[in-house]
Amino acid sequence: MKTSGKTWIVVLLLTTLILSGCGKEKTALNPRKPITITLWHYYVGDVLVALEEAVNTFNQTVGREKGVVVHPIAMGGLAQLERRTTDAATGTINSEPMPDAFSCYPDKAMEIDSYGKLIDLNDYLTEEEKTKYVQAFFQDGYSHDNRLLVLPIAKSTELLYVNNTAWQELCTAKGLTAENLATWEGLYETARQYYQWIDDTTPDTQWDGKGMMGLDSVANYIIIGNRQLGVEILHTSGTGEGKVILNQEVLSRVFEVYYKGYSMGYFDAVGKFRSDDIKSNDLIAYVGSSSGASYFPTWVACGYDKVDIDLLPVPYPVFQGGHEYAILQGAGMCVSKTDDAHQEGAALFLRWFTKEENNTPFAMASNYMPVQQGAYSAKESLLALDTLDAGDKSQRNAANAYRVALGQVVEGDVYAAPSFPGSYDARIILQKTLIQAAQRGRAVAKNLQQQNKSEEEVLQGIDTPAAFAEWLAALEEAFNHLGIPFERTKPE
Amino acid sequence: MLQMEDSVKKPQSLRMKIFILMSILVALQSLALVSALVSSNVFFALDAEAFRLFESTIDARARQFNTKIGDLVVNASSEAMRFADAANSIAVVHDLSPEQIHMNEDLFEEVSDAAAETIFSLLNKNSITGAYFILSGAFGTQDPRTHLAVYIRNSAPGLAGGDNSQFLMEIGPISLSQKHQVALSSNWDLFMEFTTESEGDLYYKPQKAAKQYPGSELTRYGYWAAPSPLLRDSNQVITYSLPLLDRKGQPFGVLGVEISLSHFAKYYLPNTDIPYPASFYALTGSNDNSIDLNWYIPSGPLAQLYLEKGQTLPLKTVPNTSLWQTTLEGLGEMYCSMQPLRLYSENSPFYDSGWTLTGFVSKEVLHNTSYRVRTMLIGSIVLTALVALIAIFILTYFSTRKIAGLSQHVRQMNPHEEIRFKPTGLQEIDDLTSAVEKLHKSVINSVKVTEKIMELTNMPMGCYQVEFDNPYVTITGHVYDLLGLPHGTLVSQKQWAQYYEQMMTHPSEDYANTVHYHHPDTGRQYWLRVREASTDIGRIGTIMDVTDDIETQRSLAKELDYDSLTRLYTRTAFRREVHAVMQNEPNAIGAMLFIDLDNLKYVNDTYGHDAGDQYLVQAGEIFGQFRRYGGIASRISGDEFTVYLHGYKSKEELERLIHKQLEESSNTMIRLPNGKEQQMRYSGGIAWYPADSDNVTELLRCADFAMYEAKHQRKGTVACFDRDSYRKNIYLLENRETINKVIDEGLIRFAFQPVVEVATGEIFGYEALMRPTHESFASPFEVLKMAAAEFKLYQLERMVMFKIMKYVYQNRKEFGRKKVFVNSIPNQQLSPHDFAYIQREYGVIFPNIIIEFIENENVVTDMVQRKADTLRNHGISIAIDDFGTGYSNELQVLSLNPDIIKIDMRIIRDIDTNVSKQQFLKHILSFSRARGIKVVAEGVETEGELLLLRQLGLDFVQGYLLGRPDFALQKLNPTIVQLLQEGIVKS
Repeated sequence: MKTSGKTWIVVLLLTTLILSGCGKEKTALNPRKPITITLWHYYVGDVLVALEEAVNTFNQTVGREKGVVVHPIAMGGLAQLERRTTDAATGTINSEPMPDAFSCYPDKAMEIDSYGKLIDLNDYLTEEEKTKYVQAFFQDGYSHDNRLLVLPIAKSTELLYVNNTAWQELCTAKGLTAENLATWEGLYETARQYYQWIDDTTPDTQWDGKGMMGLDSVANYIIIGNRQLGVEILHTSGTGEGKVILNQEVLSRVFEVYYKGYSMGYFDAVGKFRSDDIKSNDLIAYVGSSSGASYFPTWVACGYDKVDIDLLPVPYPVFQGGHEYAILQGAGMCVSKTDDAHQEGAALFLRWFTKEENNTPFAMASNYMPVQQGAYSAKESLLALDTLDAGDKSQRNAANAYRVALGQVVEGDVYAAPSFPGSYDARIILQKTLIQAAQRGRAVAKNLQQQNKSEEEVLQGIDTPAAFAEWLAALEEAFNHLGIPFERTKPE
Repeated sequence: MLQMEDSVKKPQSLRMKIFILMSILVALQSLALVSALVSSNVFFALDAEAFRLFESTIDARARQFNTKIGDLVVNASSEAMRFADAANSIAVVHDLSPEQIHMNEDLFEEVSDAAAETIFSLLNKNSITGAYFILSGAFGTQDPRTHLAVYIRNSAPGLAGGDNSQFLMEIGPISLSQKHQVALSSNWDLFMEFTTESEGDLYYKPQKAAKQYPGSELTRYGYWAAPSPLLRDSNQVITYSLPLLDRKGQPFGVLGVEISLSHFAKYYLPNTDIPYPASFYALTGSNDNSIDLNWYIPSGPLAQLYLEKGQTLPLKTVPNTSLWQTTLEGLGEMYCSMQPLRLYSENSPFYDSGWTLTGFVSKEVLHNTSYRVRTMLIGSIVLTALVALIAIFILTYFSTRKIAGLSQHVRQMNPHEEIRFKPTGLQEIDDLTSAVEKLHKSVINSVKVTEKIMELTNMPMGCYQVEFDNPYVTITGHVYDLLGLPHGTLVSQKQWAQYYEQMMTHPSEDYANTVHYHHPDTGRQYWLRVREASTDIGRIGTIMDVTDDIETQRSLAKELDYDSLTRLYTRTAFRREVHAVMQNEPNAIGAMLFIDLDNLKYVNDTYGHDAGDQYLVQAGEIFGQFRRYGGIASRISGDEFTVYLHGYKSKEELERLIHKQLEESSNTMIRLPNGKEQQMRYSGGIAWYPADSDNVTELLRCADFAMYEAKHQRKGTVACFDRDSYRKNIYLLENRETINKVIDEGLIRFAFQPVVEVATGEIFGYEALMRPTHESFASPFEVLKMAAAEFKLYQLERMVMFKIMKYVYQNRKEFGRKKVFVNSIPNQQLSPHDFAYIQREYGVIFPNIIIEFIENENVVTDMVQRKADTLRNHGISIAIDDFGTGYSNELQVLSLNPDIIKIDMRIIRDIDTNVSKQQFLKHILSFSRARGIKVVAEGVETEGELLLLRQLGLDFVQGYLLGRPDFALQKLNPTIVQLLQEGIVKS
C-alpha cells in the first residue's frame, strides 16, 4: 500500500507539472470569453472620434483574436477625468470603480500611484519595445523608483495661433512683421499697438481698443518662461521629492509681461478657451496647444455674419535673451491594478495603440504627435500632411500648424515639467494666482482708463512691482497651505 | 505438508471471487443511480433554471429601461412645456409670436438664453449627452434647411460640474458661449442645417404629430430618432424631440435630448447586470422570427463587434421556453431573449416603430453550470464507485488475511513438534485445521518410529531435507547429535547453511564424499560421509558416521608407508612426503641426499644376511637422525637410503648441516651379531631443490647420479650433483642395467681386421675386435668403461673369451692356420674353473689364438704375470698391444716375454717422412729381433708407410690400407699384395 501511495503522489505531481508547465505562452486571456477593458479618457470632439475609430479597429482585430474588448468612456474633459479618477482611486462615496485604463498626466499618475492603484508597465513591455518610443516622451512616465506608470499616447506642444487676415491688416497699418511675434516682449508691444490701432478707429472714445491675444495655459507660460530664462520653477531632486523654486528675478520678468498685458487690456480672455475668442473675433492671436489646431476656425463670427480668415501658426514666443524652449505635454495612459486578465488586456491595448502604425493615424487625426520614433522618419506621416494640404481649409490649417509644432519638437528644444508630489497643485496655484493678480490689475486699469488717464498713469496705477510682491506672497501662502515645498531666491 | 499448502493457496481465488462479486454489486448500484437520475431528468433541471434566469434578467432590464426612459420623457416634456411658456412670454414682450423669433436677433438671443437655461437643466438632470432647441428660420438666409438653434453637448453626462466645463456648444450664438463660459466645439456653427431628409425627422416629425393630433398631451408627439450621425461628425446619437407649442397649440420648434450610442449603452443598457460572460444586449426595431440589424443600439463594444450591421439574424424557437436561438460568427450558438420596450405611449403615432431589447448569451455559457453539475455528478458517481472498489479490495484483503496467514503459519511450523493452528474464526477452515493437526500427529509418530528403527539397527546415520519454500530444515536425531543441538530444535535454512559449511570445511583427500569433522562440543573427531541429492522440492541428504572404517583403513595404510626393517619411509611414502613438503613451501631450499652403503655385500657375504639386516637397521637409525632437522628419511631400496631436507634459506647452511651430521655418523661403528664391529662405509650424492630440479623423481635421479660419481671417483665420499658431468655420463647411470644384459646375454659380435705378413704378402691372421650389438653402447670402450664402473670386468672378460673361442672354434675351417688376435682385459684372469671349461671345449684352437695384453699401470702385476704364464702354458701366444706408448714398453716386454709386439699406430703414422720415428722403430726392431719377437705395425694407412715398413723389415702390418675390420673374413687387395711382394709403388 505504501508503494502505491507514493506512486499516486508521483502521478499527481507529474500531472500538475504537465498541466501547469507546458503552456506555450502564459496568458490570462481567452478569445472564447472576451473581457471588457474600460478606458476613461478626456478626449472630446475630433480626438474622441479618432480614439473611437482606433478602438474599433483594435476590437475587431487584435482584440477579437485575443479576447479583449476595449470600452472607451469619455469623461468630457481633463478636470472631470482627474476628479473622477481620484475619487475612484480613493474610494470616495458614490465613486465608480477604477477603470482598467485611463488617460493621465505624469503628475497625476504619481498621485494615483501613491494610493497603490497602478501597475508597473515594465512587466508588460520588452526592452526592445521601450526603445521604440521617443525617449523624451517616454521618460516622464517613470516614477522615481523606475516603475513605468504612464505610457505616452500622444504629445503636443504650444504654438502661437494668429488670425492671419487680421494680422496682415495690422502689419500694413503699423508696419509690423512676423519678427514682432517672436518674443514675449515683442508680443506685448505688438498687442499694445493692435489695441491702439483698434482704439484709434473711434477717436472719440479713449481706451476702447481690443485685446490682441490670450493664453490658454498660463501655467505653461510661467513654467516655460522660467525655463527659457535658465531656471526651473518645478524642481525635482531625482528621489521623487520636488519643490517649487521661486526665482524672483526671472519671475518678475514673466510676471511683468502677463500682468501688464492683461491689466492694460492688450491681452485678453473672454470665452471658455482662447480659440473661442478667435471665433468670436475678440482676439486675433492666442497661445495654445498644437493639438487644438482644429479648433482654430476658418471663419469668425461678426454678429451673425461669417467672415473667412486664414491661420498663421507661429512658434512659441521666447523671452528676450532666453533660450527657445517650448512646452512638451500630453497625457499618457495608465493601467490600474485589477486582475491578471484585465491588466494584460489593458496593456495589450496600450501597446497596440502606441505602435507606430496605429498611433500615427490617431495622432494625425487629432493634431497630436505620435510617440514612437519611427513615425517621424516614416513617409506615411509626411504623406498624411500632404493629404491634409489637399483637403479643405480647416485641414490645411491643421497641416500648417502641425508643421510648426513638428519643427518645434523635432528640431527645437521642448521641455516637460517634472512631476513630484504636489507639482500638480503647484501648477494650478501658479496659474490661478497669476490670473487673479492680472484680474486685479485689470480692475485697477479699467478704472483709470474710464477716467481717461494716460497710458503712463495707468501703468503707474497698476504698480507692477507691488503686484509682483503681492503675487509672491499669495503663492507662498498657497504653497504653505497645501504643504508644497518651495524655495525663494532673491536677486543678488 | 504439500497437501496443506495447496489447500491454503486456494483462498487466493476465494479472495478474488469475493472481490468480483462485490464489485459487480457496486457497479449495479451505480448503474441504478445513473438511470434513476436520467429518468428523473435531474441532469437537465438546471438548464431550465438557467433559461428562466436569463429571461428574467432581460425582463428586468427592459423594465428598468422603460422606467429610465419614462423618467427622461417626463423630464423632457415638462422642460419643453416650461420653455415653450418662457419663449411665448419673451415673444409677447417683443410683440411677436414665437414663430417670428427668427426675425429679431435680440429676441432670439433672449430666447436662446432661456433655452440655454432649459438645456443646462436637462443636461444636468438627465443622463444624456446633449440637448437642443431648434426653431425655424435663420438670420441672413432663406434656406429652409437652415435653422436657428442652440445645441449643447455634455461630454460627461451625469457629472454635475456646475461650471459647465464639460459642456460644448455645437450650435448657438457666441454671446451665449461667452455668458455661460461654454466652450465652442470645433464644429461650432451659428445655425443648424439638415443636410438629409432623415436628419430633419427629429425636427419635423414631432411638429407634424402635434399638428395632426392637436390637443393631446405633449408626450404623445415625442419622437425617438434611430441612431444616426448628426452635426457633421461621425458620432452616432439617438435623439428624442418634443414639439414646442405656442399658446394656440401650434408647434414653433422642437426641444430635444441627445444620447450618444456609447453613453446609451453605458447607461441604459449596462452589461453589468447580465450574469454571464460573453453576453450583451442590443436594441433593435420590432421584428418577427429574425433580427434586422439595419440599425441597432449595441450595449457595448462586444455587441458592436459581433453584431454585423445590415445583417439579418434568423431566429429559431427554443422548445419549452420563450427564448430564441441564433448563430453569431465568433461566438457560436447564442440564445436570445427579447422584450419590447415602451418608448411611446399607446396613442403615439410612432407607437408601431417601437424598439425591442434583445439579450444575447452564448449557449455554451448558459449551459455551463448545468454542464458542470452533470460532469460533477457523473464524476462523483465514478469516484464513489472507485472508492467502493478500493474499500472492497481492502476489506476482502483483511477478511481473508487470516486464511492466507494460515499457510504462512504452517510454513514456519516445526514439523517435529506438535502443530497448532491459530483459529481463523471460520468454522470450515478451523475444522480443516484441526483435522490437519490430527493428521500431523500421526505423521510425526510414524517418523519417530522410523527414526527409532534406524537407531536400533545401530546405523550411525542421519538425514536432512532442505525445501525451497520452507524456511526450516528437517533433520533427524543423529544429525542433531552431530551438531550438538538438542533434539527437535528448529534449524532455519540460514543456520543449516552455516552448519553445513562448518561440517564440510575439511574434506578428505583420500576418500570421496568424506569429511573430517570436529564435534563443536566434545571436540571429538569424526569421519563423516555426506551424500546429497536434489529433489523436486529441494535437497535431501544423508550423513553417515564412517569414523571407524576410515581409522582402520588409515592404520593399515600407515603400515605400508614404512620399511619394516628400518622403520624409515618406503619409496612410495618418501616420494609422497617429499612432494608434500615441496608443495607446502615451494620457495624454500631443499637437499636430496642419496646414500649407498659400500660394504653391505661384503657384510652379507662375509657374515651372513642376519648381520646384513643388522647393518641396515643401524644404518637406518643413523640416517634417521636427519629427522631431527625435519628430514624425511627412507630406505629406498636394498642398500640405498635417501634423506630429504627442506625449508632452508641457503644451500650453504644446508650443506654444512648435512656434512656435520654425516661426519658425526661416519665414526659410528656398526656392531654385528657376532660381536665384531664394522665401520659403516657409504658413498653419497646431493642434489638441490630447486636449483637442480623441483621434481621429486628428477631430484632423486640427480642425487643418485651424484652418488654414483662419488662412488666411482672415491668411495666413501659425498659429492654434489654436477650438471655438466651428468650430461656427459648419464648413460653410465642409464646403462647400469644394460651392461648386465649385454654380459648375460652376450650381446656382442666380432669384426676381423687382417694382419698381413710383409715377407709373403699373405694374411697372417685377424684381430678380433669386439662390437656391442645393444643400441645403448656406441663403442666397445663404453662397454668396457661401463663394465668397469659396474665391477663387471671379469664377467665381460669371461663372456668375450667364451664367445671368441666359440666363434673361432665354430669357424675353425675358415680360419685354417690363420691366427686370431684377441684383446684381453689385463687385470682379469679367467678363473681356473672357467679356463678349464674353455680348454675342454675349445682347446683345439688354442694354437690359433694370440691374446693381446695392454696394461694401464706401469707395473706388471703378479696377476698379469700369472695370466700370461697360464696362457703360454696352454699353447696360447701372447702379444703386447699398443707398444711404444704409455705403459706398454720394454719393461713389460721383458716381464711378459711376448711372442709378438704390436707397434702403436701413433708411431707408424707418417713414418716414411719422420726420421725420428724411423730411428725409434729401428731401435724396437733391433730389440725385438734380438729376442726372437715378431713385430706388427698397426694403423698402416699409406703406401709410403707400407713401403718404408717393408724396407725396415717389419714382420707384419695391419691397418686400413690393408683391410678395415669386417664381420666377414676378407681377402687382401691384390695391388697391396703386389706392392708387398715387389716393393714398388705403382704410380
